[in-house]
Amino acid sequence: MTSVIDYTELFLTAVVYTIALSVMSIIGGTLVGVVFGFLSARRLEAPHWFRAARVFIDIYVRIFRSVPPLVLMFLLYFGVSAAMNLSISMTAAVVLALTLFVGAYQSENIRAGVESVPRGQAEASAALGLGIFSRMRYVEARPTFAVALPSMVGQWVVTIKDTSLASGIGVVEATTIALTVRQATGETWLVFLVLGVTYFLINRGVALLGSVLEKRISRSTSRAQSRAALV
Amino acid sequence: MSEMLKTPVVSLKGVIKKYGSVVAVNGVDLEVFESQTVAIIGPSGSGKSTVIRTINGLESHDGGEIVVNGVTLDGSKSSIRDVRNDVGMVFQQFNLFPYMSALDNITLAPRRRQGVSRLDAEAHGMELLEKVGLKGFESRYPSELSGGQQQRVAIARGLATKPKVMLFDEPTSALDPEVVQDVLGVMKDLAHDGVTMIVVTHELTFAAQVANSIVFMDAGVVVEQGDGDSLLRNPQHKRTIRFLSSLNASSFD
Ligand SMILES: Nc1ncnc2c1ncn2[C@@H]1O[C@H](COP(=O)(O)OP(=O)(O)O)[C@@H](O)[C@H]1O
Ligand SMILES: [Mg+2]
Repeated sequence: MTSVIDYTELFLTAVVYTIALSVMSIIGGTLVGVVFGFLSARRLEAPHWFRAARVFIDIYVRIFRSVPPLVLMFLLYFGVSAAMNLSISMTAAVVLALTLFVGAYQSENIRAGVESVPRGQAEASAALGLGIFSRMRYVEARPTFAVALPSMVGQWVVTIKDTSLASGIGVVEATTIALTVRQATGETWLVFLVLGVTYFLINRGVALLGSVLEKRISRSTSRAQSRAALV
Repeated sequence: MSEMLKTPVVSLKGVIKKYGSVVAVNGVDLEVFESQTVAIIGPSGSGKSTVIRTINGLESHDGGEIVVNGVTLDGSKSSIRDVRNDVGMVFQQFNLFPYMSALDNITLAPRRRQGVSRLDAEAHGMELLEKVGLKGFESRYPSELSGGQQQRVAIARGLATKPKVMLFDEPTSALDPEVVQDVLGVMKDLAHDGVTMIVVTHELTFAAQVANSIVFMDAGVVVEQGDGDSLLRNPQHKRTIRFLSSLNASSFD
């Protein structure tokens, strides 16, 4: 039996891989969520094609919130290659699965944010002749993110934790390596303790980043809202 | 009389608006000529807001014809866009954008819709702020302004796109009594400057002093229309008389 220490470098490499998977999936899920959330929000004078898109997005959200991300990974990695005779890399399968899974939740977060913007804001935008994209950019975006950011950061943390599911298809990320090390060394609780602490630290980092972002948004909006409670 | 020869800036003929089975506006005719101020009065629920909201396409109409500065509102996107280019609007609840300074509220549409440069838009915006009595308030956020100040910024925002006509939907109804006159004063100035205005209001004194014509609406129709002297002092219809006496009774409580 080898010592746990011998696996330090391998483990660190795997942690880097976990972080890389996380970053890609977080970006993917956030992009999907922002685009789908802004498209699918119910609002005054939404263009007709937004409404058509909403039908599709509603179905997407319903499906991808109801299927476990691990099953999505299996489906993409084994299923797609088997069915279409097309090889997809493990990394791509994991990132795509998490992007689609988390994107469904982020889409709902953003949508709720857009729909929290008071109707009068949309009426004023319309009366000023602003198109839907100007309205999104200049009128809806800030209040939307002010409302949605806390739950979006929550989903970022979920994304990071769910990269551990990639061990299910054998991606060489932190959890997979932990399992390997445990098998090779016989150390169980030490290995999983280190693994747990690693995820904890990464997630605390993201949560911290999130609260910095939230503070920045609330600082820039605090003047906007300082008297809102009195009005 | 000469104005009769001109074409109206805003013309409504037999305009109808339904919400399901509720007929909110039931055949309204209205003509507003350049530099005129028309006041619309009437009890709550009589269709005043609905009428002026059809003029810039915030509500689509189900019948009749609306022409604004030569453009017929036919439900098409382009007609709505063209009309909104010519119409400014001020709401009862101000509806300023809370995440923008007063000046940014005013310059948003000129810059982002009309392609005016930042420099020009801000120079014009500063003039408008001065006009509404808010010189030096350009970097204030809406939350840092009183209701009356917010409404005056909203008026400046409406004017910023250089519209042919300004719509006001009860612009002073949400204000504390002591600032109502500030806002009405600004509107009076605009009328004197020749801005074409349609104003839904319960301020009869303002209507009498400023409006070239007062329209009394009830139950979705125009019951009576006339200048301040004839309509307010010598109303012809029972419903007008009843409405005016109810207003007088409540305002002199
Ligand atoms: N969005 C709406 N949906 C359904 N009914 C409406 C709507 N807006 C207005 N109404 C109805 O239309 C009528 C006229 O309303 P409105 O134009 O707001 O009156 P006013 O501004 O004179 O108080 C009222 O009976 C009101 O209940
Ligand atoms: Mg009204």
